[in-house]
Amino acid sequence: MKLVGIVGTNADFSLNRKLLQFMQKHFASQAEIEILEIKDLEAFLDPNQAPSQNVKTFSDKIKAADGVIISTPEYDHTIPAPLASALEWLSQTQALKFKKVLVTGASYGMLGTLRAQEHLFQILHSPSLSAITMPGKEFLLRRASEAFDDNGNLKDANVQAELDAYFAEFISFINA
Amino acid sequence: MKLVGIVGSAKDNAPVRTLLKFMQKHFADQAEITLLETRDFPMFNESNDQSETELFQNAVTLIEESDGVIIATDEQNRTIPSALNSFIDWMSFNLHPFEQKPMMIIGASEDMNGAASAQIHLREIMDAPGLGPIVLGANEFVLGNAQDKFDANGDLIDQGTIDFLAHA
Repeated sequence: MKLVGIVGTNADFSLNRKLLQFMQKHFASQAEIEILEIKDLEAFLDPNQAPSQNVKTFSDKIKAADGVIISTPEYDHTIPAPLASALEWLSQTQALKFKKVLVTGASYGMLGTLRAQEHLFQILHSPSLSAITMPGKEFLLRRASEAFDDNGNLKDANVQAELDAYFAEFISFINA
Repeated sequence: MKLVGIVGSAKDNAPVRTLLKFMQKHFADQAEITLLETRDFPMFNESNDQSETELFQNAVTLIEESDGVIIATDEQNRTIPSALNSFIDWMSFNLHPFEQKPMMIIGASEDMNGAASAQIHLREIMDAPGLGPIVLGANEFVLGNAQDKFDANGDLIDQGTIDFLAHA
């Protein structure tokens, strides 16, 4: 099982990157997760702009994966602009069309990126992207700055269990 | 009356730019509208803060000195274009020029929806702490198939909503 995990921000330090790195390690026996950064992608401007090699590589890896995890922060009650830009490129290449997607998010606050994820689901369901997001469960990592120990592992066993169940369901969802 | 019209699209032939330029001309006796292009600004990155550069400082001054802001948004993937998202991220990070600023949200697109989904998201975004504009409600402007219609229907509504922005 080959998955890609998209870091939903271009920031140097990211709790969402930390979450994906944890998942890559923790779920290694179930799937190979390659972490994809959006920070090297050019900003999407005019639709007539040709995709760069960075964008093509990014898109090709997504197309080739069995499933895609997107971990998004929340900026101003929505997804960050660099993630929105990456998704605009993907609407050009159609890499997410009918691709199985798992949405996660980590935030400093108590809502754990709830609003950003709501917007992200609507965006992923748009005709220009047409992704197949896993319905039902959700994963919101609240107070994420306190959630990891020094080794980058989740401290709270309940949160761990929730993530384990969430990921297991995604694997079944992909195989269904 | 000084207003800033923010072009919420990075496209070369963006209907929102045509719309704002029309408004600039049509309402010239009521307000001086200056356009701000979101595509002129770099992608938001919290690890590379450019708030203090001339480009951003000029934009902030323009917005702060205005009586109100009009954001005309296009739609990409059923949300606001990333260029507009980025501009808003910059204007809520270390700069906060939208605070208490009267704001009108309008939309235009090449398809039939007139950026209606994007406008919903934009209103939700404007509720976030760090922004704080006074968004005009109970009025809407949804211009679909804009390449054919920008000088046709809805202009009467436009006039009413721009007048609403006037200070006592």
